[in-house]
Amino acid sequence: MNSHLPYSKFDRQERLSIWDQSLIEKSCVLIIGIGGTGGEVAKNLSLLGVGKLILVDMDTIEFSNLNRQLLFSKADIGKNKAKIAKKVIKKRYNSTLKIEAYSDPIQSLPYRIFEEADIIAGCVDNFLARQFINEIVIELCLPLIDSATDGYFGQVQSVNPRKNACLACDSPLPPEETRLLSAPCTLVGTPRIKEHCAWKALYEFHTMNDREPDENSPDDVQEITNLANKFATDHQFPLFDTKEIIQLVLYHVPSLITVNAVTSGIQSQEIIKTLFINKMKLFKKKDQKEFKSLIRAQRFRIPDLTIYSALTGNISSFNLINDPDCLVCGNSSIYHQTPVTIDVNPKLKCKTIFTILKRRFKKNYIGFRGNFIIPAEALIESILQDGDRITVSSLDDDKEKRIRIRFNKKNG
Amino acid sequence: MNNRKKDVVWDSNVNSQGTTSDSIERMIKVRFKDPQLPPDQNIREKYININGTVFQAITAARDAFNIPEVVPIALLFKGRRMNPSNNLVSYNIEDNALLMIVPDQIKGG
Ligand SMILES: [Zn+2]
Repeated sequence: MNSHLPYSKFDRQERLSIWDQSLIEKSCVLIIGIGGTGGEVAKNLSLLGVGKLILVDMDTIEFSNLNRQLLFSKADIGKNKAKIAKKVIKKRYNSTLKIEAYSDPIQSLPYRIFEEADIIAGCVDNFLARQFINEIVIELCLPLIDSATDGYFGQVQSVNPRKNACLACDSPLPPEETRLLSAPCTLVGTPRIKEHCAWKALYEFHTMNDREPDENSPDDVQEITNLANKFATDHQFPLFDTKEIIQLVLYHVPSLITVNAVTSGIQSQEIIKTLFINKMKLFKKKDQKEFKSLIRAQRFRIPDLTIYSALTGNISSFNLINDPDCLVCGNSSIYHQTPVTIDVNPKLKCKTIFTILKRRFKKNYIGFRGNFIIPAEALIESILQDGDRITVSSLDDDKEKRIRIRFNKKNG
Repeated sequence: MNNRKKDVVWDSNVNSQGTTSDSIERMIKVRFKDPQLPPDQNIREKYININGTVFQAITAARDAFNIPEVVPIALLFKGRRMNPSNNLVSYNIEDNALLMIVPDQIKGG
């Protein structure tokens, strides 16, 4: 269509040393979270000419997003973020880009999506999702560039599995997140702590109203408080007041478009640099050597942690080394083991998986996907897809294993 | 359940009190660095009790740079993020060690 133009639209960036547009075009980036930073990263990478983007976000667009999330407009309120972003990026920035959008929670994404990506951009707004992504990148030895913002602060962490620190190294989650750690699994099961009732109530609100609750609406806050108290009463937990509910499930951190733009700019740049390093092997031997000497000469480096403060204007970077005792990336992690492949008939119930495991390992197991408990009575095909991986935990000795599910109609 | 257990390491009792049963005082000089300040102002020397907790070191770092309690901070030592409930001795900190101050608990997206 544009073949009459005298030069490529990437001409200005192709003039840079340490730049190879063909490497970027052969890359696939999985962006998880399409909000303030994720939307910016998606825009940046599409304009930089990345070959394929996979966008994931289960949230819907809210009025309060419009101060900084440029892919969305008022008419999109209530629609899924990933799906709208896909449409807008394709139309506005790059019509030839391959792009997929998923509105599922990350814990229920088909595993092949992670396997297809060359790199993951973590742009989520909570520690639970970060924990899940971190485990996957360690298991697949996939680079992760994770970002986070809070008011005037932004940070970008680069996880290069088995080389530097992962997100779990030396980094216990803050207390309130620890208490909520197993929350999502209880959406289908029994609340084990009081806070789970609040998460169940939020889930119920979504199902009933098909929208996000508004933290500033007394009606919404009261409705969720009532729902949470219904669960709390049923399961004999103390009751909530509205202040507690706001703090637990409705509080949003302050967000600035300027901080989002700087943070996502740093994150996008580190993604491109990591792609250059990891995809350099596609070059001919001679060109690889030349590329490496250029990198050395120009003092190219990918910091492990970069922090931006809009208050002082400083950007500082740090090295982070891995913790050998880290339970996700350390020496005895289950994510370093080759997963056990189990052949199952997808038409059967999930408990079949545990029966097969019991036959093979003589132990009783329960299964997890992130923090979701796999319901034994559900049909396998309604919960899992061919090639998915789950964690099983032995009820006898608490030891965990990673399991790869292979669909086979004859088995089980 | 291993990785889920790991996260229960945070000990709110040690955190909020900043004390442990081992209270023998042995002071060493450390250097706190706040990289958000200009290079000529970003290092402060302080004496801290090596038998204390990381939480106590964080309090000393706040003190050194007047960082209010509402701003969550963490300390990095030789590229490792220090767990507030651990004892300082477990990090083999020696006299004149450099402890980096970084923002903590940033999670928005
Ligand atoms: Zn780790």
